Amino acid sequence: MSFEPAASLEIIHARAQMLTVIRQYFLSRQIIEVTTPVLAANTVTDPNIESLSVATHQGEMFLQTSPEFAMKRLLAAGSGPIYQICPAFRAGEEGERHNPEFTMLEWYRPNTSLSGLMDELQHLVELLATNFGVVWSVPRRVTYHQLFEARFNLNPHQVDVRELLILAHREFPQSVQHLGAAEGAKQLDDVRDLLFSQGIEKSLMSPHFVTGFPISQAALAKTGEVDGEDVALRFEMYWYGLEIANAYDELLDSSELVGRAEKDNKQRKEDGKPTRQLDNRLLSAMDSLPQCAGIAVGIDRLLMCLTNSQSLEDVLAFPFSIA
Amino acid sequence: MASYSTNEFKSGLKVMLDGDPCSILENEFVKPGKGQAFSRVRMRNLINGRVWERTFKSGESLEGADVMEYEMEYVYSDGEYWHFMKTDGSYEQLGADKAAVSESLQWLKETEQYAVTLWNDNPINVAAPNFIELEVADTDPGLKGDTAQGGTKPATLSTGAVVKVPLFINIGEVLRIDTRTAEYQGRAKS
Repeated sequence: MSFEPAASLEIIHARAQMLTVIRQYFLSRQIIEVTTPVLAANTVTDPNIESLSVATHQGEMFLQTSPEFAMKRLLAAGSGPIYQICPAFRAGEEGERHNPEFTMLEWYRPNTSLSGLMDELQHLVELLATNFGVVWSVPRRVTYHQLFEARFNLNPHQVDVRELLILAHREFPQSVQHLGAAEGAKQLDDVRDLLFSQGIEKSLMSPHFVTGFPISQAALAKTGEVDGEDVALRFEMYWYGLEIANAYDELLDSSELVGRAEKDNKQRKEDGKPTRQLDNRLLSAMDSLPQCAGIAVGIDRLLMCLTNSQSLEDVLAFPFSIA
Repeated sequence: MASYSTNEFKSGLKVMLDGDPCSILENEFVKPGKGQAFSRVRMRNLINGRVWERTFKSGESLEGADVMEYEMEYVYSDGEYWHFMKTDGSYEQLGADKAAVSESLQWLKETEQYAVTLWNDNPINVAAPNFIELEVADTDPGLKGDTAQGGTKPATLSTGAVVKVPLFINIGEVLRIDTRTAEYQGRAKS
């Protein structure tokens, strides 16, 4: 049996170089590096993220899908700006752009707006692009609405699900069979996701910051009115058709958090998935959590962009299949 | 038969879809940002050979198809079925109908081995070896000394296949043929 890594030694070195640049960047900005547990008693309630569980002497625990909860507990305790580079796990996610275990860079800045965080991400990636000598342009800032308008000539926030379904069947006849017979809000999200992933995402080759996602996709971001539309206050960065980063103006309202967790679990039940109890330690941290913006960056995908690699396998020493 | 979930869909896996056995060629995992994951799967229908694409919800499953491939020796045809014999020592014989042998019909030669695909123990496809040696049954007389020129002529082989051969080839000679392109490769080494 072969012991050799999937990634070339050149890429292994490139990863080390990338991590060094990132750490120097945060050092220069007085954002401190933290380490929190990878294994925890609770996990996300998100209906579309599956956690891996581990049997421990304390009972079932979960491998983190992101370090968000623990980092928010630190922020609530007054840590100030913090970052972490750590493994994250998502059950069942395996493909050219997914590996069940991946590396996440996550950072939080108290008293910072979403656009302030956008500027910071832009500086960091620009620094990396320059260091690696790859083509870089200032990210285009666009809304989810604008992208749908440009590609499909419709407003994704005010559209009939039937109209979207007809469009999906016409544009992507080979990609609609999984939509099935779900109903209501979930179906609307499923069709919007299909249109976005098949019709828009892959075309975002130059760097883009996308804002104004539907409120149903808010996760732990605040929601609010922007340009007369109720949207989630978050943004995603795309580069080479890949989702690279995901940022929130972090939700501070604990009753809203409870409400969203209940809704998530209702959906999980409908989908036949196990329900997930809301992390009570996160809940009790909410009242002390300062206004902050937080962001998660997929380090492995970013390395793909910086090294012009086609698949995650090319940038991982030992991808899941040979781990 | 076991059933397989989308994350077990690997290239080469045989599954049942709409009543037909299919072979999975490619499985692309798609996970829209906050949305539900799905798989875009390319597969070949093993009955009609068509390749098609469709999506499945992550976690959805399909029943496995009882599809096996055997090296089998062609024995004879009774006009309705083409009979093949297993080479594993069992001497078991199975009859393939015209639909199953159609793509290899013109390359069927007794005692030659073929890859026979069985679904629920019935042959559904017969694939010829990439190269086969066949005797020339009929062709115009060969031109002596014309071994360097590039001209060709049609030749009918013992199986009925018609291929283009160089002008110097004669009836009774055994030729090596690429069955994928129906092209003459050379005289068989005797």
